Amino acid sequence: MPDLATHLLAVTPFLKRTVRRPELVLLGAVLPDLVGRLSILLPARPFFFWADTALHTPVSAALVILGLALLFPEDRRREAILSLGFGAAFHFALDMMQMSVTFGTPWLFPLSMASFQLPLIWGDESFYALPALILINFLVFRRPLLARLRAIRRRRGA
Amino acid sequence: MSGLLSDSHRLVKIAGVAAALVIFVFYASAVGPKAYPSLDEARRDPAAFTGRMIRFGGDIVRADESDFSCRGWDGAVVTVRARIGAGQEGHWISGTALFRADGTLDALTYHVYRFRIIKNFLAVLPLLVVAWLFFRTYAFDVRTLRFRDRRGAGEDRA
Repeated sequence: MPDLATHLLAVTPFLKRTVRRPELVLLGAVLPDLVGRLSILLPARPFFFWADTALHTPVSAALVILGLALLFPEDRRREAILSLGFGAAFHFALDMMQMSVTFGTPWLFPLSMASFQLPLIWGDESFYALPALILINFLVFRRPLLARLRAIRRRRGA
Repeated sequence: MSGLLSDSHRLVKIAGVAAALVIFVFYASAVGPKAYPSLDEARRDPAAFTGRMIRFGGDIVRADESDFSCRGWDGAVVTVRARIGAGQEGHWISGTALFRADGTLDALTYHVYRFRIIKNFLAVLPLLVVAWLFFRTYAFDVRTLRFRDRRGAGEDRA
């Protein structure tokens, strides 16, 4: 998996006008790793490795998103599912591009443990993309960013 | 709204989702080691795994010209024949190898995760940003077991 900074900055350019709930898209973009990489905080045991493997799959992410959506008011659930789902789909799209020496995400779990990747980058080297992503984000959000900076400067000057 | 996203039996649906995830975890821990056996399985039954491909991974504790040693999750050290180069101690390595009768491995594919610490470090800030954005927007009402919008329902923030 690429690092979470890459996951977030890759999805943020798409937030500008496409979705009403950017905070949920961003949560969706880190959600598969939030639930599927919990073993980092747990004792090193093979069971937790397989728990991570099971939870870091599209079907598990869909279930987690459904469970989360049910915690929102009824009239917001569809929107929550779409926003969280968009972020999670983006997460898995990036994960698909990473190289793996053993096996990657079992995309069809629980039907199959088989995994396939489009091997472009090692998971631990994804931060090489950060400067480019920061630049893209700046170009996309430069107007609101610069407007906010100008407003802060004006407030300090006043 | 009706069906899966409706309020009827909401807590039962959430419990169902949680139960499905627990089943997934136990299912993966049962079928995963068979699909992708690791050093743990090979050590339990060396005769059955001699000459077979297995997964290995751990912290590199020694690296020489022709081989290296890595420490697995259980603290056991295994010698792997592969040229990874000197000065790799302390890095995480993951790969596939042929299991030998003497308990050593002949590496087939491997990757030294040199930037694993940077990657973990890069996870902290995005998590804080997502948590801040989410809880700035939503508050969890323990009484109703729902997230409510802090800014009031129906506000269009597009």
